[in-house]
Amino acid sequence: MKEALFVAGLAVAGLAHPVLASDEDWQLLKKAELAGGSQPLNATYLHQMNGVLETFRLVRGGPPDAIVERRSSLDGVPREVVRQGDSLTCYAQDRKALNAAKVSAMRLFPDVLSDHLDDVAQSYVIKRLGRDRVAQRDCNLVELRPRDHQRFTVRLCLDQGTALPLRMVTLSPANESIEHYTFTELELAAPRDRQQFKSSYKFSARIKGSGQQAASAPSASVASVDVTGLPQGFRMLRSVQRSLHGSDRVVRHLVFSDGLAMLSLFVEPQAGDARPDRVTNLHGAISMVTVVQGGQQLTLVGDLPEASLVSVAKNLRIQPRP
Amino acid sequence: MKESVSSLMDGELGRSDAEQVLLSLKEDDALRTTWHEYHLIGDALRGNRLAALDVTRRVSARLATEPTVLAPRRWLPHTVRSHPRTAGALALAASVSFAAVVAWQSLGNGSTGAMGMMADRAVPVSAVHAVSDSEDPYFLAHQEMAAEQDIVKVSYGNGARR
Repeated sequence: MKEALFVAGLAVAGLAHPVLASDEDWQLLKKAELAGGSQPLNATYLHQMNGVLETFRLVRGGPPDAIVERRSSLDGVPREVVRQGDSLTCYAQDRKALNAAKVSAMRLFPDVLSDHLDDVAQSYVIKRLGRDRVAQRDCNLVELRPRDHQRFTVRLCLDQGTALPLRMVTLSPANESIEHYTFTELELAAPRDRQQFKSSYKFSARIKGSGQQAASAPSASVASVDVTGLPQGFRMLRSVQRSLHGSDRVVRHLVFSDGLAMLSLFVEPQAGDARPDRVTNLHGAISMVTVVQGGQQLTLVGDLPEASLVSVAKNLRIQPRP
Repeated sequence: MKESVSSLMDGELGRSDAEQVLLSLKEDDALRTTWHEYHLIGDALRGNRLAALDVTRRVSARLATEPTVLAPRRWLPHTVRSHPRTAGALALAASVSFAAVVAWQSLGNGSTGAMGMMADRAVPVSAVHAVSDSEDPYFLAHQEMAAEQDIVKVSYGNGARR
């Protein structure tokens, strides 16, 4: 009997150990998420995707409830993204460059992790991969691998002291690098010169701020749809009725996330000039696919592998809620 | 006709005129001699001392005795062989992925340390950043929402919760 108890005890210990280790890893990720969004810095980072390599300068400072941050491109079209508290503004020399600035605001490295880590845990397995060194700092490698094979894997190298993400690599299901962010120079303090937080360009566009929120706030009438067929772990964050840039057409825009990947679904009546039924890679990990289903045109945009995006689009079912 | 030969050498003739002169050159020995002489004059003026060496006949004779090489081209699948454009695209993809690998290595990523972060394979990538894609209305709409979610998160994160 004693032996049986001993064996059972061993088994329980064996089972419990990985769970505890994983808990610790999630705690580390939580710390990384906070540091990624608020750690004061004065840094330069590289962003590589689609064969394009860009360098950005990033300065951040201010108290945690009023962060001031400015990122400016050092290569390509001159553009800047400035954050002040909860508002985000793009700056550029002209209107065309302003669009490029908006694209650069797509992912605000190193603020790459979602607040909803519980959601992430549903769809991804966390694993430590060892140690590395980035921008002269030691860091711990952490991998978030999807439980299904429909999403991208994300590898992060988290600073040993602050847990700040120093590097982020997005890998396809075939382990191919899709997108890569990495600091090249990093100082964990805000620059003293306040002028460094101000943009020098005259054209600007507010992406997020108090004025914008009201315009795109979800309303009860448009949220009344049920969407099924999404991979497990995705939940709806928003549902809005909106018009698209350069067009009067009104579309329904639904936003889903599994805590790491973000997916937009646009539903509109099928137009005469339907888009070709194909998948296109738009920017780094972000692709787009359009399908026509029951007289409706569905467009999916998000950071999922192209093949997954196609299969998701084909499996989607949209029902008006009774 | 000699004037036409001169114009042809200077690249001043149109396509149809050039073809006409080339046909005449094929048939008329005297005209061919003129062609050689003009080249010789040109070479002499440019100071090319080896120009006086006339090897054309000997090279032609050797070429005539060379056996024809019938090299099989089995390395490409049939479909690619019958579509030269596909082959071109393949070549382009190959060179672009090579460029990507070179860029990757020049970043100092290919050597030590960072193996855990590395992808297992290099990815063929497009060399040109399509600006028009970034202006896709769906993409911009998605981007706005993504940025918004990000900031909503940040404002919560830095506010009451902490």
